[in-house]
Amino acid sequence: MKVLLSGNEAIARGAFEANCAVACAYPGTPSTEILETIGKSYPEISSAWTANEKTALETAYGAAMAGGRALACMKHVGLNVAADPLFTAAYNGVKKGFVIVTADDPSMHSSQNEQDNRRYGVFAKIPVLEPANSQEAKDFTKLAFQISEAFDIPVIIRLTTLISHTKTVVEINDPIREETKFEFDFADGKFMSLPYLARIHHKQLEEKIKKIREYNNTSELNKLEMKDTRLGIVTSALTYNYVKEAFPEASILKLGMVFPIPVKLIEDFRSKVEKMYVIEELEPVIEEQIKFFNIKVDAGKDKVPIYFELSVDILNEIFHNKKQKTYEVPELPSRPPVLCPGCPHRGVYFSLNKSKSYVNGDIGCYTLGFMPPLNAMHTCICMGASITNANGFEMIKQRANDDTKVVATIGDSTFIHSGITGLIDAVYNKLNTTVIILDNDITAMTGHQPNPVTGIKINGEKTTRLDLEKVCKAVGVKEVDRINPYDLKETKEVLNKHLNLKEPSVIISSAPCALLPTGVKNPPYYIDQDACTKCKACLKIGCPAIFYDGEKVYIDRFLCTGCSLCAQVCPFNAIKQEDSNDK
Amino acid sequence: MINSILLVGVGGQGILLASEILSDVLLKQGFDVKKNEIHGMAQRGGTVTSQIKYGDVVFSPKIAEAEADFIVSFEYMESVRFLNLLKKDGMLISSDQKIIPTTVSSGLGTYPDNIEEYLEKQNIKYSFVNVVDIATKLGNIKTVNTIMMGLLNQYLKFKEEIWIETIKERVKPKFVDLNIKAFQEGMNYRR
Repeated sequence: MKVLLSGNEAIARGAFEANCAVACAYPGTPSTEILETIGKSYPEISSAWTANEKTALETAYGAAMAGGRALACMKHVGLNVAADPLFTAAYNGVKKGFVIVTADDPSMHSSQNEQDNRRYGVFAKIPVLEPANSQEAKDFTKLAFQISEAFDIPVIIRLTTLISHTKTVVEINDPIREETKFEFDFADGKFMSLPYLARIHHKQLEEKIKKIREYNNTSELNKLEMKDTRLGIVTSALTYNYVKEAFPEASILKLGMVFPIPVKLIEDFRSKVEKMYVIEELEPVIEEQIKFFNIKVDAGKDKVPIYFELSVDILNEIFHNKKQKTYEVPELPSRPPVLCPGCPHRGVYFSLNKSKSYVNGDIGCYTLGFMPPLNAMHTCICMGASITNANGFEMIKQRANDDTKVVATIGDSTFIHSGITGLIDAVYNKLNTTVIILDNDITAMTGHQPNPVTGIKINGEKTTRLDLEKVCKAVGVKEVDRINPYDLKETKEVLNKHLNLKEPSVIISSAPCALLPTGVKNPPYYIDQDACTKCKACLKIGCPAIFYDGEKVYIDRFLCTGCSLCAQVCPFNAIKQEDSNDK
Repeated sequence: MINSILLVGVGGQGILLASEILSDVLLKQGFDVKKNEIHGMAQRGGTVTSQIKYGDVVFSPKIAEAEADFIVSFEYMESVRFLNLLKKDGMLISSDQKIIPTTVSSGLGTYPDNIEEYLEKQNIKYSFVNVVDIATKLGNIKTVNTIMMGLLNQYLKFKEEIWIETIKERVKPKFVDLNIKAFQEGMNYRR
């Protein structure tokens, strides 16, 4: 049967067809839907959202040691978090197939960088497979488990945003299903990493990579298309599709496994073509390997950009000097993403803006607190860095005897991911760090995945709810307050109290994400045009349900959630609530 | 022969469901189909696009410059944001609904009101339809996306039965009849 699947759905399907036993992930665009699909559609696989990518990778690795095929999925920067176990897993090998999926984000559609994680394969010495469409995403997943078991090594599958999120046609097959048995073989310290064992494991790893390189020369992962021999192109993944359109006559060697490269296959291809180009998105991962083996490359990163997504247009312009004549696009105001109407973060950022504090932010919907008109964030580095960056600010403040106001803001999921450790540091090192945990009961930005604070597992089953207040107190924070972020007066008062404390403290802003069924849903507000002076104070909260068309300010009653924030900031009491039975 | 369609609008308008239905309809006619969607960080309020390409064999899932046969826009201003992708003699079908972005509300830009003029100057074929009015008459503003698909099918001319079958598969049971009606309203709409 043929269906349309996204690359992410196809990975999930491939894992299912390959009898994968355990799958773990921390959500992150563009990888999230892999585990989401497994959780929803394949209950045969034991799946789990974990605290972060490191715990996901380690849990899956444990499962692969203990007798079941296992999958760990993450976005590209997530693999940075999980890099520690990744490198050692390469040394120690596996019992059952262990596959790590990294979904990279060229052009940074929703990420802080566009690192090319194929480099992790080269760095950690782990084979890297790169599918070019959803069919390959599924097929390669199945092959990845086989390669992992055949060569006793973890395998990386590297996706990019457009592979993850593009639906293409996939042929569905029946799964193999076998009973899982607990089988753990610890002979010869296979899963130990003491230095004397690591020395043995490293030698073994180098031998494995040699064997995999041999295998890759004849593996079904690579595809050779001989046409006009005047030009041959080595390429991979999505870029293959662009090459097919921009060079319809050229001979193409499409690599499915981009590390370790199939040297003999490439040498053979090189000998058959007059010129050979290497065309790949982002880093010259294939090109550098080819050059390392002294194979001549006629064009590569000297011509192809090293940043952002490629396209047929880019290749046509670079190689054929061909630019399409297009219709003109007028100058338009941008339409950036904004905090939703009724978002519980809005009141906190509005208050932070008013408090004139520096805000160390973090990764989540609430990073949008940076955008005008809220303008209430000043740093955002990576998951969990809000609290630790604020700790650094505090250390300078201590040295400089300065009382500048500094606040760290972090979401519930991000706090669990890697914020807790920073809070422990703050207490241990006696820093006056002020933390606001924006607890909206869910991992919102990636599309509402439950987390330990939600108290629900991926399969909907109830579990122990993590109590943020108790966690903060347990690590030694004495001042922990809870606020209702829809109450601006309370938010301001508690914030002022904490900004004046001379000890680490935490404010937990608790209200469910406005898009959840439990989110704020009150009768909508409207603007009494007779009372409105057009002072535009309400526009300063940046609510997308409030519009100003140049003449009057009005509220879209279908978008308004009745959160009341605008009414609280209106100095003329011109914003009123409809009767509850009106809507 | 490869054809391509760009759907564009604002987060929350149901563009992703429309593109699901459209690509399933294309798959059912035996085409190779690739469909991608780009949505910004947050779930609501930003510009959302979905690109659909279909034909015998589709390679790049990205619509190249001057390649799109149709731009189907769910919002007045968004209709021209990706004009560089529209093929010469391609067709722009758009809702005339205006959704003011926060950048305009907070004084960082002006919402354009002369888009028709701009299109005529470049001899672009276009049609703006008061889709919100049709949806409101149907009693549910959320039918905008299926009405847009009906409007598009005035040009694609695929069999109505295939659309209806796909709507039945893709839409929640209690909204199926409403969406079929919305699709038909779009298909039968005449200026």
